[in-house]
Amino acid sequence: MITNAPVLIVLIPLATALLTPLISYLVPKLMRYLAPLALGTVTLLSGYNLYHVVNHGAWHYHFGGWTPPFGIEFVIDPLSATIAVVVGLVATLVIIFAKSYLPEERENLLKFSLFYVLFLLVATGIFGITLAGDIFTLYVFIEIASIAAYGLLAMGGYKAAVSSFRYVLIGTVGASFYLLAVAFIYANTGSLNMADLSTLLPPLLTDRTMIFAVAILVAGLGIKSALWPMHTWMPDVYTYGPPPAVAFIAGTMTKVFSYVLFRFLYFILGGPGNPVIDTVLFIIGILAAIAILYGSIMAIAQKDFRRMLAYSSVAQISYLPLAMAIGSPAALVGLILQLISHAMTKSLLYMTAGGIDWKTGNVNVTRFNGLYKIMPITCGVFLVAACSMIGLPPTSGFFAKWYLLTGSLSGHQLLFAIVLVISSLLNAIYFLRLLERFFFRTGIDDKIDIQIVRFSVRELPLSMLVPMITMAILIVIVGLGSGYLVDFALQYISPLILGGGGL
Amino acid sequence: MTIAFLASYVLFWLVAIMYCCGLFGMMQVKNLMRKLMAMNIMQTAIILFYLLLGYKPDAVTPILINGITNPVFYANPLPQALMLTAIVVNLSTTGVALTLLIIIARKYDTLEEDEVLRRMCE
Repeated sequence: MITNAPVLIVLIPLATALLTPLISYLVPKLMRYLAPLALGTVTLLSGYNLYHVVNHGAWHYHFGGWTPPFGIEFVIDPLSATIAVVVGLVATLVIIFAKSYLPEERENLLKFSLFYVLFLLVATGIFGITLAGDIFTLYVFIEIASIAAYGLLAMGGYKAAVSSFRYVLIGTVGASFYLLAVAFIYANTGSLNMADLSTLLPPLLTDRTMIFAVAILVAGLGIKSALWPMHTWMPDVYTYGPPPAVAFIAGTMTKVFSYVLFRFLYFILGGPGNPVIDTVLFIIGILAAIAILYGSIMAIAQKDFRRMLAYSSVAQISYLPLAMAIGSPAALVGLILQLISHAMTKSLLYMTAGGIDWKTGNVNVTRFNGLYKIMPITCGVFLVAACSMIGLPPTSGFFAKWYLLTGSLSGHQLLFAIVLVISSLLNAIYFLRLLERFFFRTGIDDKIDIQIVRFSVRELPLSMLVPMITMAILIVIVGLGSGYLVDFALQYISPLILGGGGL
Repeated sequence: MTIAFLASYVLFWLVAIMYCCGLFGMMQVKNLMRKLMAMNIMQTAIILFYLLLGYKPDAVTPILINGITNPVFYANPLPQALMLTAIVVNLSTTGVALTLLIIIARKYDTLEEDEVLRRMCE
């Protein structure tokens, strides 16, 4: 069984997703534990994968015994294995968190089970994206993740349906751009295998059709990963979607698409040095720099907590293309650290937003005065997440930004370094403003004017608090252990990058 | 000659025009249902594009006939196989989108985008 670990990572959530409606009908009590159990198993398996890959080198899993370029393969290297572990951790913690958020009544059982089905399908898609070694397989997993996400995000009510419909339209344009690029690449090289393409494609990049293919590929993945100015679907979707779903999708999905972009630009297309790729990197670097400033300023202007976090996501996701544009080894280590750190931090922030909404029925930041007295643990957890967002030690966000900054300075990219510093200041403005409301301000006449809609437990139920606290601890651990993490897993990435190509 | 010209040039332009029509329709049309239809046109154009890539005049289905192993006589099966998957993807995207449209139409009683957005803000 363990020799099939790569495919089990995708199969277990898929099979569980298909079984969940049946089990919810037969044994309703079991259903709550099935999805966390499946995702927990998957996390352990991807942990095993990481361990195996770090010790024995990249793992090529061939389907049905067909060897590439004719067969389909999953490629697991330290980079994809690390991301699979992070996605698994976030998914497991968020699905435990989701338990109390969903209705308890038996009549809602179907809806209840549908949430788990779609959640597991999104997880299936995202795991598939991280591991696929084939550009068309990648497309299929992109669509599995996206279609399930459209449904999942539409479960938040009528407004969510409208915003989700717009996401369907824009997301499909992104996916169709990607599919069109695959067609051009296939027509020019006759291959779909990533390792194969990494030798075939770079010499072809002088060709006009291939330049067009690269352009629409980057545009398609840019739409999917919400790169400015293609981010317009994101704020609405993240605001109206159901909080646990948003916590997972905001945490992992856009980041995984940035990772695919990274894979394409640095591994398949050969990385910097080629004039076409240099132009692409320059353009996405400029777009990312604008996105970082725009997203941070827009986040300051928002009153709705969730919308503020969505705009903050617009800014934070753009750190990844920015790091690609900088391109020095330290910046690329920063890219991976930022990916890991932001996946955990953003899902934790959305979990706190969901928790506050659950307890007080309020998402307006101007009415959070003195929340500390009602929800001390949630506010404490939020403090950790906010520190990570701003980039204060010892959280993971600090180390990610540290590597990005040293990378941009050593790469002589002063403009990007300035953008990074300004962005940190802007982040500090909108997070410290919230922290001030949480901890230091009170309402009129020193009375706390926060209403509570759920009295059943003192703060939040244990199934919400435990994932949040675990995530906060993980953020600090990743921060403190970032040096070890770089030595353990990421050092295998940078020589690969510097050598160019080679999956 | 004419068929070769058609296959190598004109058909690709027609598919490109079809794709742009779909994309333009999605941006320009205000009705949500029509937006969805434009999206389908765009997706179909991509399917046709793939099929054209695998098209070869006078080729037969890629099943071994009379022991002929020269690939020149057979059509390329890979684009067709890929497009079977893409058609399923299109179907499910359309299904999800139509479901969302039903929800929107029931709540807001219209599918005109401006009207829906106006009622959403109330």
